[in-house]
Amino acid sequence: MRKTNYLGIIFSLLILITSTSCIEPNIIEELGIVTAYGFDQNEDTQEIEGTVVLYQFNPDITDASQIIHSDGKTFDTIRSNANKQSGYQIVNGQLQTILFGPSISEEGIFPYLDTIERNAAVSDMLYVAVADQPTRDLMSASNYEEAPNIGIYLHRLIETAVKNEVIISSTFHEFMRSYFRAGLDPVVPILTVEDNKVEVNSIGAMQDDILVGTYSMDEIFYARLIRDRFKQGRTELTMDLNDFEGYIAEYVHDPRGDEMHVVLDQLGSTATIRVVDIDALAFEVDIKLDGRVIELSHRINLDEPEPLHKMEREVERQIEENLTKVVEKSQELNSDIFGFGTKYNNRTRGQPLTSEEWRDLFPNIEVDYNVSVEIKRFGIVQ
Amino acid sequence: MAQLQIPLDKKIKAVYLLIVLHTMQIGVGIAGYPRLVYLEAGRDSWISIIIAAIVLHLTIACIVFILNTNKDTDLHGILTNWFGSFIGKSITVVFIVYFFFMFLSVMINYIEFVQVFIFPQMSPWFITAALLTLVLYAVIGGVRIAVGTSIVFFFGAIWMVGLLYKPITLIDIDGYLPMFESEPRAILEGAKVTSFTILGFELLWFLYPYIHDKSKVNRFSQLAMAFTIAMIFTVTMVSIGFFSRGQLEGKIWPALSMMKVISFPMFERFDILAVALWMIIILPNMILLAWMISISAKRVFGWKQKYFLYLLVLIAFICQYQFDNRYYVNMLTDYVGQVGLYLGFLFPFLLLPFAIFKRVKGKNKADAKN
Repeated sequence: MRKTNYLGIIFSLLILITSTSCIEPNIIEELGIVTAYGFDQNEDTQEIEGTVVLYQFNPDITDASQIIHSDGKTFDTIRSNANKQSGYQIVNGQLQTILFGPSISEEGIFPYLDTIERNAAVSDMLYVAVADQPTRDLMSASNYEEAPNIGIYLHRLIETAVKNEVIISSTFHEFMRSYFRAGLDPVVPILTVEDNKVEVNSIGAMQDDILVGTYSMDEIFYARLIRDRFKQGRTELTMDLNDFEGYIAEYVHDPRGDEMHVVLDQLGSTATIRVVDIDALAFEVDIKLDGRVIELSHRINLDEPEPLHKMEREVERQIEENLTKVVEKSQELNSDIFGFGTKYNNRTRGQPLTSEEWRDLFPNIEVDYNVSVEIKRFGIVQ
Repeated sequence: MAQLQIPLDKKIKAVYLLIVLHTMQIGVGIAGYPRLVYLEAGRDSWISIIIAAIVLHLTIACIVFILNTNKDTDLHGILTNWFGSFIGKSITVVFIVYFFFMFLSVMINYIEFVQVFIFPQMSPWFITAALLTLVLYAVIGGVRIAVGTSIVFFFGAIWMVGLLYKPITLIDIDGYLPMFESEPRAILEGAKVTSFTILGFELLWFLYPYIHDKSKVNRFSQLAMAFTIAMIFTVTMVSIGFFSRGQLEGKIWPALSMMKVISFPMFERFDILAVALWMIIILPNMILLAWMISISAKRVFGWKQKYFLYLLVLIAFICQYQFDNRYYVNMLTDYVGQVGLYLGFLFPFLLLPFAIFKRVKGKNKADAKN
């Protein structure tokens, strides 16, 4: 049997321990970890004013967050200038949200995103968002629930909205992918302050990297219906009570008059965009939607096929109507957030579509909608 | 002596070729490959890969045919047998130099990964020393240790393919359409780029005498090639679907950038770990290359294998200082690829007529005796 080489083992261990000093240490208590950046442009100096939300991991500190304002011409200068005001070494590794103020989002945000792509330390899963007022004001909103700081709150806010399928997800990766794809424009959530608390207000339609318009929360549902797919969406529709004459239970008296409100949830959807005629720019959107009724303002016996089908047809009609409105709006803004251009490009072999070409074509496209709705369940009452 | 007499206890089974050849081919190259092929062939990169795959399988069949003509010897032995000692030695030295630059290219590319992704200030000599120590350990142990460590490292790294699951869920089908758009020329260029990535099968030239059951060499080396092709095919297709055009063209290492979206509750930034784990992917590369270099040098110059190994480690350590920016790293990698195209793919076909000639002659002789 061979003798164990103890000397060798001890020597190896010694090397292993001492060699850890060959790389730069990052002691977590000495780091100021940035969770969010906000950018505004100073109209006078053309410099960028950055708002940096810092966070420290240190059990001894009770208020472990702070907000620093610093200026610079580039992203990284803002970080390093912010360091002048802090005893902690400011690092970007935990960056979760970047926010742009109106002064930048109207001019184009892409130039500020380069370093995020270039720097391997920054995650691709951070959220890109736009504020409807200077980010400096927005990020000083003092009510951020139990989150350690406003940066983490912003991230949670957007993440919850994405998870609940209320808005369209816009992580950095998704933003860049749409930005670089001809015939598809990025969307971003738009944040605002209400009662000293930040909330998601609407989503912004971008033309490349410039914010050109917004969709309200109601419109987002229809935009999302085409662009994305629902797994557990919800929506509320208003119907005319007279259409359901004869099926309504007598004992209900609703002071709201002739309207009936229907809430559908657990909506699952798939959407396909098809090019019907490439020269006439005719498109067809097929949407399949299924879900359940969770609330009705009037009791209707949905167990019978007739009122149920009537309701399904009515939902289809209204969705179609709203889809038309949303797509027309996007044509007016000339921002193709649905990806009609990508489908068009897929059919034109050999001549790659450019964004500029699509800008000329997009306002002229004709879209037909085939919506089919299936109401699968209606709760535990008839 | 052209024939090699290798004792049975130093031989390996042919089935190990499946893993050893595969790990030789997959290394630093695959991290940047999807972009390189996309720049040439665009969305039709998969056609390029298939063309390269056909050429690769033919090349392997050719190499195995030549090796089978001369039993129990390596490339050096074959060349010496056929063309005499001088040509044999010269060509083997060319291969040694080529392998050395391949070794260097793997090492400095990995150092660059680490510097870009994890420790920008980490000195290259430190990581070089760490890698070279492991290489020394494995190669001094002999061919069985070299092959054994490669297999262990292979299983240490192969599970990372499973991480592609997350990027796969984010694939956008529109990225693949419209198909068949690239010109044939672009596709052939793409196939050429692919062939740089799948170099490393030259190992077979030198490992052949150490294989115990030679009848199975062809089967397992072809399987290894198929495995490699399947791997780069998957990674490339996922990259094309995951990134849009402008993104993919801009990323130097798409395969590593894809890891940036992977996040676990207990491990937020998986890309950091992926880069660290990439060491496990490149170590078999370095170990087998070092083994090939030292064993061939021994065959040519006749000194002990150990001495050449120490010399290799020393030179590699010094050379690493010369390559400390992206420009030189790129240049070296490109040159190695270009040379590899000729030495890896063309060279076997040049030898093929001689092998056929030898076989026909051998058969005639046998017939004459009967």
